[in-house]
Amino acid sequence: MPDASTTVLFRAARDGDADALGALLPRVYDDLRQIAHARLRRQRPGETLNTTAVVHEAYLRLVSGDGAEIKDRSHFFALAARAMRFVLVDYARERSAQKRGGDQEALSLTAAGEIASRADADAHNLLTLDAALARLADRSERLAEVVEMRFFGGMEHAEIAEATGRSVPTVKRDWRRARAWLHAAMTETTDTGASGTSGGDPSPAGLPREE
Amino acid sequence: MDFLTHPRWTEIDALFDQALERPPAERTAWLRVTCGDDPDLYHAVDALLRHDTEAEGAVGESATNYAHALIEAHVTEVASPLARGDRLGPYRVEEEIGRGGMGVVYRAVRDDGTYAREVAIKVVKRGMDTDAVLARFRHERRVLATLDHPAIARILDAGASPDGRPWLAMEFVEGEPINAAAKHQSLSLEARLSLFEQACEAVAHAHRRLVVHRDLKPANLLVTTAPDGRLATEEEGGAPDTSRTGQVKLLDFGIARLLDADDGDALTRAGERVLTPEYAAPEQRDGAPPTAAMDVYALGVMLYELLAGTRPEPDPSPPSAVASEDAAAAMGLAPDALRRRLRGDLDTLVLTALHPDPERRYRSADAVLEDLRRWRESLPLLARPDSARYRLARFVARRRTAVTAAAIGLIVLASGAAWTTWRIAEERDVARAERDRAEATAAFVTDLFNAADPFAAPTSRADTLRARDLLDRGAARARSTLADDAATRASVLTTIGNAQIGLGLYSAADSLLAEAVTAAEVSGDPVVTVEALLARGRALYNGERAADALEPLRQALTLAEAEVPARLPVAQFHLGSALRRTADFDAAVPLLVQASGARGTDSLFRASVLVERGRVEQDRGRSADAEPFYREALALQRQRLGAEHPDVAATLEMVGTSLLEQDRLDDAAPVLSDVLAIRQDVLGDTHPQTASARFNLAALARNRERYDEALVVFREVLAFDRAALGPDHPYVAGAWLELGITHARASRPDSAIAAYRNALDVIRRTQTDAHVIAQEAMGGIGQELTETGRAREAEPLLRRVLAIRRESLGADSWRTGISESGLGANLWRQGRLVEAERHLVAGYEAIRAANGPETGALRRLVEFYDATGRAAQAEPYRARLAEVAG
Repeated sequence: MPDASTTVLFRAARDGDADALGALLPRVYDDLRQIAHARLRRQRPGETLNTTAVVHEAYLRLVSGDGAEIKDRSHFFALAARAMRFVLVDYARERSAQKRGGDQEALSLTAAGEIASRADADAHNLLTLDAALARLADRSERLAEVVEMRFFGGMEHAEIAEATGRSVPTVKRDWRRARAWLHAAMTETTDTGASGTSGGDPSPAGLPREE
Repeated sequence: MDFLTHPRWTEIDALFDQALERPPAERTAWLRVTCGDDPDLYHAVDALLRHDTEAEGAVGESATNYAHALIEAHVTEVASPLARGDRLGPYRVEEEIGRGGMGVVYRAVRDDGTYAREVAIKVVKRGMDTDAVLARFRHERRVLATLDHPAIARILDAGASPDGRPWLAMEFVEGEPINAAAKHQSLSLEARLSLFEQACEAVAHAHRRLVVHRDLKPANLLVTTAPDGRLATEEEGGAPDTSRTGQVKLLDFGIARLLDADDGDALTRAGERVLTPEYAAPEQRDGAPPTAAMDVYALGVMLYELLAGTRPEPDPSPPSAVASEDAAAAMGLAPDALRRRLRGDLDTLVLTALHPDPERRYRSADAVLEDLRRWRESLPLLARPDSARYRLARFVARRRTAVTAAAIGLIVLASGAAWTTWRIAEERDVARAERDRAEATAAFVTDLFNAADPFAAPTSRADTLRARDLLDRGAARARSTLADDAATRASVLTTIGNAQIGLGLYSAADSLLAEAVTAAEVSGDPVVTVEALLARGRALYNGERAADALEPLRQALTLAEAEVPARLPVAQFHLGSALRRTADFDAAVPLLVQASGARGTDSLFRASVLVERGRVEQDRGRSADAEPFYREALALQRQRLGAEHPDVAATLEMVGTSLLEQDRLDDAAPVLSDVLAIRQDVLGDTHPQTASARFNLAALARNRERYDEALVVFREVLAFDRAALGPDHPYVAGAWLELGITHARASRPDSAIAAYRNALDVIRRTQTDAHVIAQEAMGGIGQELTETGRAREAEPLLRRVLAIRRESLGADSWRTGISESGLGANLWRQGRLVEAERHLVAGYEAIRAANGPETGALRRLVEFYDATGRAAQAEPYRARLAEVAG
């Protein structure tokens, strides 16, 4: 479904219109949510919702609305990566806030309890990661940016290199050291029991989610 | 550590980059060398590398890992609620009052003109209307239909929404959770007990109809804020006396179970998850089938809260010991007065209701009610407090990790003194308590000795000796003080025997454990007997007497199967291990498969089973098949133990040896170097396992044709094993064998034959010729004799080895193939060319089919065809040789 207004804003933003850029983020944010929900409904049970595919679908909508090739595709992805981060972090906050208020839970049924408790764990992990990422940005904006693009935007190393004007090996190395730093920060947080922005009970398993 | 602000970040960062360019297995070694004498730098980079490795699994490459459940939960829970004014059947929605995993609860009013009435309506969420959830809804309706009690919220109506989602209308209860009500209304002790009694009556009503609630908690036990006239007129006969305390209402039978069998289908296994761990009995958290005692446990937790003002800790102290000033004040009592009233029978009643062992708990809510009445009437309770010995056992179990090795003697002596003063009571539950105590003590002592185990941590020889003495004294004390308590004696002797196994004192352990088995059989206690038999089997097979271990382990398996199913996987594992050591692989595999597939076992246990499973394949000569088992075990161990743990090194070592056997020398080198590095770090340079790591590197040096280097190390290993394990130990034979092989490769046949003969002499002192070392030694002698013009002398030896291998390994093992190829070479030397060709070809084919090390057999074939003037037949083998020898 073409979305002309997003396209127009994107063009303006590309041409240096800061207001357009400011207006664009919420739109992409809404698009991502809408696409994610729609994909989730279409999926067969057991299928996993892939965030990279969501970002790509958002891009395709934009392109089909534009009717022409977008030259700096990578800039759109960088923007979408940030929007995706906001979407997921908002869901996670919502989730942990809801959990905090929830002793009046009159129903404690089960089939969906599985999803709910995984979501609780994921919310906690994601908020821990987001807090660590904010701390990383204080140390090195560059490393934080790479994490955002790759982790939340699903961008390939080459795409990140294009968006940032750095070489692919540099991007690769930055990703590894940023991720190692994040892991250190996150496990430290868990060890000391300080749960960052998550608010809820620290997950007993700490950060890791196993595959 | 915050790397980015580390003063040496630039250096760290550069080394991190460089390390990442190397294969993971080489990084540590490389870094060690590169950092040279700068341990701080080494540790900083190493830590960063470790974070990198862990981050790969923990953080991954994409947020996808986190997104799915979050978005799904958002879509199903937040989206699509009903709004005020929406209609469900004759009801109009007023507001949302609660939500759970699959449904939302609304307050609604009936407004079809008949009469106005508030109800609570539970509606399945959109997207959650799967068959399983719908089945659960029908189930709850059926359960509620069997219950009719003033303290249980009743079902009023049911139907489906316009979009097909089912709903249940229930009596609307306005009130607050039982614990909050007691607190806010500053209820007296009596009023609290009266509320609790109402709750028990509701639960007892359900229990009498074979319904177990399974999710009792304050949120499901509401207290109406005032004596409720409306309800009283609804219920025939009115409510009991609630003038002082309000009426208790039990809600939410959503995961209740009918104890008769015919509702199994509706509830999936996943549906039995416990959602309120604070109130769930330990066995419920472990997934045990539902029992009324689970509800009793939850009631116990709530009573504890009502009386002590705090939720019980694991292994709770009696309420009288923890009751706070606030709690006392809320009840209008002085703290001392409250404690006095709780001490004794109320303590016992609460602790019995929330006893971790369901067998020691009240069996149903009726039993709790009975003791509440007895307490009120000042009659003796039916429940009994835990005995002193039971409590000591629990204390010991709790403190297990905190006690240091220095305290071993003290504890052993203290428990010994206690044993003599304890009296064995007649009650069955006291007997159980004893068993628990024995088990707890056993685990405790075993843990302590694991700490003293030289294989568990770097310790000095003096520590080992001290541990040894302590064990002997413990055994002597057990014999004298526990002469008339066979079960406890057996249990303590088993414990000591296990500790001796940990110290490598296998024959001492064996005789002690034989005594333990006898005592256990006298006692007739199956749990104690299984443990004793398992320990005896372990002592025997670890002491290289695997054939003798089979009998006790088979007995343990049979008994575990019949009476102690929880220990069945362990019994299968040990019997499988013993069978592997007797080369009965076909019998070992199914046992190990069962053990690794058993539900609810510890991941480290699974890792041990996987390693053993891999070793079966390796012993059969299928090293390539062994590797995946080892890798899977490694992953489990690393997850639990980290990368630098002796157990991880042991499994890595198996990976390394399997690579060696597959001729993958370049892959094996970094793995074996890692093993040595870990052991040098963790165990020190002179530890036997460090020696074994060096041994493997020597084998590798030999395979890379660095013979003198290999000989030096093998001689060290020989001397070490002799001194540490005694001159008859199979490891000594193994070292001789390796020396023989090395000499043979270095073309020193006489030295080789001498070493092989030594190996054979030593191994024959404790084993039959079927032992793998005996086979290798005989084969080696045969080959060297063949090569040095004594082929006729060698032939019977070679045929004997071939027969043994066909028998024990099967014709398709590469080891059998190597043996057959060797016989072919021998026959060739004797000029019996037709026979020789047959064996050379058959031997090679077997090796190749089994992916064994084919180079030697190939070379022989090529030489054979070249020498007999059949270059064309040599050609494919020559090509293959070029291919595998690189």
